[in-house]
Amino acid sequence: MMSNVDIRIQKARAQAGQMRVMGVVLIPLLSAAIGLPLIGEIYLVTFEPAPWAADVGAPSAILIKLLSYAPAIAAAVAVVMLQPVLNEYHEGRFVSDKASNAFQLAGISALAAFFLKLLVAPLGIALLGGAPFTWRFDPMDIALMVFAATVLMIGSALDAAVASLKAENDQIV
Amino acid sequence: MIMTQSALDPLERARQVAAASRLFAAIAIVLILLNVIWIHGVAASVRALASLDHEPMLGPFWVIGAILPQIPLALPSLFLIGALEKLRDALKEYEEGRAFSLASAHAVRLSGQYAAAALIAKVVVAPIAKSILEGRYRWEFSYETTDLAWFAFALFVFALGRVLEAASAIKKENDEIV
Repeated sequence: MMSNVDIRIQKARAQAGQMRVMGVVLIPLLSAAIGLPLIGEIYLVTFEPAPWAADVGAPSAILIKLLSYAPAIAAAVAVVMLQPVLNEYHEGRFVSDKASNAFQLAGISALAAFFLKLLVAPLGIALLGGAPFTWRFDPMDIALMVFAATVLMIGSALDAAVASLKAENDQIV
Repeated sequence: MIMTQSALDPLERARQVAAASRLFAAIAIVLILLNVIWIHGVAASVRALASLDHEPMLGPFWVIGAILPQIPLALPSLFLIGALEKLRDALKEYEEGRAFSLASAHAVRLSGQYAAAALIAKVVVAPIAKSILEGRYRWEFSYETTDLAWFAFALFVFALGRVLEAASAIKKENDEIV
């Protein structure tokens, strides 16, 4: 007969499994939502260029399009990075180095997405001859950036807690 | 239980990281709140009042009508402030050395929920409410490619919070048995 703890473990694993399935569905959808328009836009600036694309030339126009999609790609990478956390939890490893590292990597990717969106992409696009650089200070972006940074810090705190628990267990053994 | 130095060091580091992050999040919350009040409150009111100076016939109801659509526009930032506040609650637990507690897991789950709500408010609720308050009554959306990724990110944080809640419940029961 299963104990109460076993039932809870099964429940937690089942929840992680459901979320993993959600990830399996969500990640290809996300890739399609970002990748398909990007491919379409690259095709258009290469073969049917708008006046601005014709002015800057095909290579620069392609780079401009890649830069404008870079924040979305980095944000999608952050989502992909969270998948190993769910994998670990699904395997029943709730206190795991791999999970807390993945948590941190997801936070870093999310932060990278914001730097790309707020600074790198607009600056790069301006240097390539696209839209002129303007500093856009959107409170929503800043709030999301802090959210991502705090998720990164939670990953780091969990990482340290895991290291502490391991050290404690090693001493007991 | 007595923990030796090698076990305490990472925990002490985690507490310091959590304390610093809580402070950082608190400063960010204040700055975001001030920014929201400035953009959606002060600046919008000044613009409306300036229009009133040019066209005195517009009247005070027009001013209220011009400021009102700013309220739904502030919603996403306010939800995100809620998300940050919940993450601060989780960090407080870590700061006090309770890394795998029910309260911290619950706070992580709620922060994911608030962040997802913020994105729904940004993409759907705010533009539609603004269009209604401005008398246009149109289905309007404010969608950027990154929004979908952020929504997925928020959902994952929510999901992780749920799993952490279950894991914390297991730890609590184990501790009680020991």
